[in-house]
Amino acid sequence: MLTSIVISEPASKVEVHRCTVYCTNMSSPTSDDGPRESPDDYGASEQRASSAATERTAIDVDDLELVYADGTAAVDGVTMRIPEGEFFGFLGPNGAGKTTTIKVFATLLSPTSGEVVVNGFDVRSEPRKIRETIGYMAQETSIDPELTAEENIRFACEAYGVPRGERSDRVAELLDLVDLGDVADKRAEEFSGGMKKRLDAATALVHRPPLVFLDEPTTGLDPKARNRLWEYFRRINDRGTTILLTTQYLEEADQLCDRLAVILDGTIVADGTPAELKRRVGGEVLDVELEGGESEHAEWKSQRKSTCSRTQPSPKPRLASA
Amino acid sequence: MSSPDSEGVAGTAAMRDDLQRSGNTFLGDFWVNFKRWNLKAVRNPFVLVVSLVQPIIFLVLFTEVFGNVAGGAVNQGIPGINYETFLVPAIAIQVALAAAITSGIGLVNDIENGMFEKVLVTPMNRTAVFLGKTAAEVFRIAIQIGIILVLGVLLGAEIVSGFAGAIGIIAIGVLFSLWFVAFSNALAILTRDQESTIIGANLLQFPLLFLSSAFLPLDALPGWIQTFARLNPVTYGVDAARSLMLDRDVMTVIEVSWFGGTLDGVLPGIAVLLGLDIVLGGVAVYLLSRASSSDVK
Repeated sequence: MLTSIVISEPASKVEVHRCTVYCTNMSSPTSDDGPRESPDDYGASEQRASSAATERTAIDVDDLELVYADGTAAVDGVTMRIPEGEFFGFLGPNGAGKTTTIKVFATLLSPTSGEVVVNGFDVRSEPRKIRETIGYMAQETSIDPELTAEENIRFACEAYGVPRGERSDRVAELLDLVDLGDVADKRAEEFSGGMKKRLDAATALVHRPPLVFLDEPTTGLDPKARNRLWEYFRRINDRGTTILLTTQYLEEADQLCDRLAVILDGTIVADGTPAELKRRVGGEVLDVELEGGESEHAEWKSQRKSTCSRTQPSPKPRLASA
Repeated sequence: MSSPDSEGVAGTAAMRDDLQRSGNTFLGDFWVNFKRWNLKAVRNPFVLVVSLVQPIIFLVLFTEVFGNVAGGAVNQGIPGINYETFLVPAIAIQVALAAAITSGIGLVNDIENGMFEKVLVTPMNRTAVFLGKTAAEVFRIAIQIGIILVLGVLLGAEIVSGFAGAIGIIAIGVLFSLWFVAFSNALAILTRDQESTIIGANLLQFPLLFLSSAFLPLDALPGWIQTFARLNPVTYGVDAARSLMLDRDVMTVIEVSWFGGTLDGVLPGIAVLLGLDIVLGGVAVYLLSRASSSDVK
């Protein structure tokens, strides 16, 4: 059975690409097919799984669900683990649940059910500890347009409790990192979209968080600005920072991420390294073929098949009872 | 444009060592936000000026146009004062009203440009965050009322109780502004829209001012206005400020004689405003904490 998922509109006319991904390590969202902790569930190679045992965990999620008051299940049973230092990507269309999932990790939303541990702290009991140890770059550029670039970063330094004596150096270092040193005293409202994004990224890094969330950081940017941001993200990751990035663009995920999870309707429908997920590049359509035993996935597919196509949206069967 | 390079990139170990923080304290968080909102106010002098211009226009036009006519009506109730002296406390309250509206606008802007969420994801204490913002706005209102008092004196008004009275009038103005600050923040959270917040708050400004003792003594006004004025917070703020201005009890809607003299006019007004501040403040705090809570609504 082939289910077509349109993951994005083309980023820009010059970068149209097409790909069809065949995922063989499909993980079912129902948990009655064994423990979720098996390496296959993460789509990781044996190698990676064995080294993961000695690595520390940045994010550990067990059966996360988030249901909005209107009954919409934005996140519907996500289980995953991200080891420290990894560049991890969430790939999926608008409304798939990427942002909601990241907001739960960043303590902006409380999970309806499931366990979420970020940097060793539980999201429910120790949200403030998590806030101290993460950087969060929201999907919408979030900067104070009335303040200068320098003042935006300085405010973030103060908000994150960067020691007073280190603030000036930190501000200069971050302005340098995102190449905004020569416009440090200009108000952010005068900046281009790409400059604002870079400033936003810098403010998320003031406290040198070991874990950074980037929610569609390059959406709406021209290819040049996007390429520059990619370089900064690589640099941050090279320092040992764990990064969780969401994107609609397979190319972005492919360029940056060590490992990917494809999210659709609030569940991880495929995951693995970009090489594992990718077969052909050339367009904006990601096709996920569900393989494995027909009986194993029959029930799941009968629930899902009407929802996997964005062109024919229909209510999710599970929501009717929610 | 310089392309990114790997120079100066610290290794993992070095980065971990750098993770020490000075930590957040309640006062520190308060101060950070107080500074940010003051900086924004200075950055945006237009808002500062505009919220002063309208009251100043009122002060100048009313005293010039109505001064002779209204002076007679004023002197029937309170003999021996000019209209400038009568009007200045009302304009002080008007400034508080106009400036308080900008508090909600600031909140809407923060929600729209993402700073609201950005602040929520920091480890700052959320109460300190909003107290710092409110303190910056109250600080600005105090300065603006001070400017009005100086201008009023230059135009011929007399603050009978002197400098201490002027400070008292500013304090009453601040106390008065708090319920409207709370109201405009509540509007901001409910509408999440700049235009609605401005229109909603401005719509109230003129009825509140005119249906009170602000511009004329209540005795000179029709009965239905007198009835409304008894329920109008502006009357309590204006009468309390005016009592200080004239250094005698001119509170028109509550008659007490517990203290003798000026305090009989000032303290009942303060009590009413405090009650209002607490009630509307409570509503705004509830709405703010709901908006910043991570619970799915």
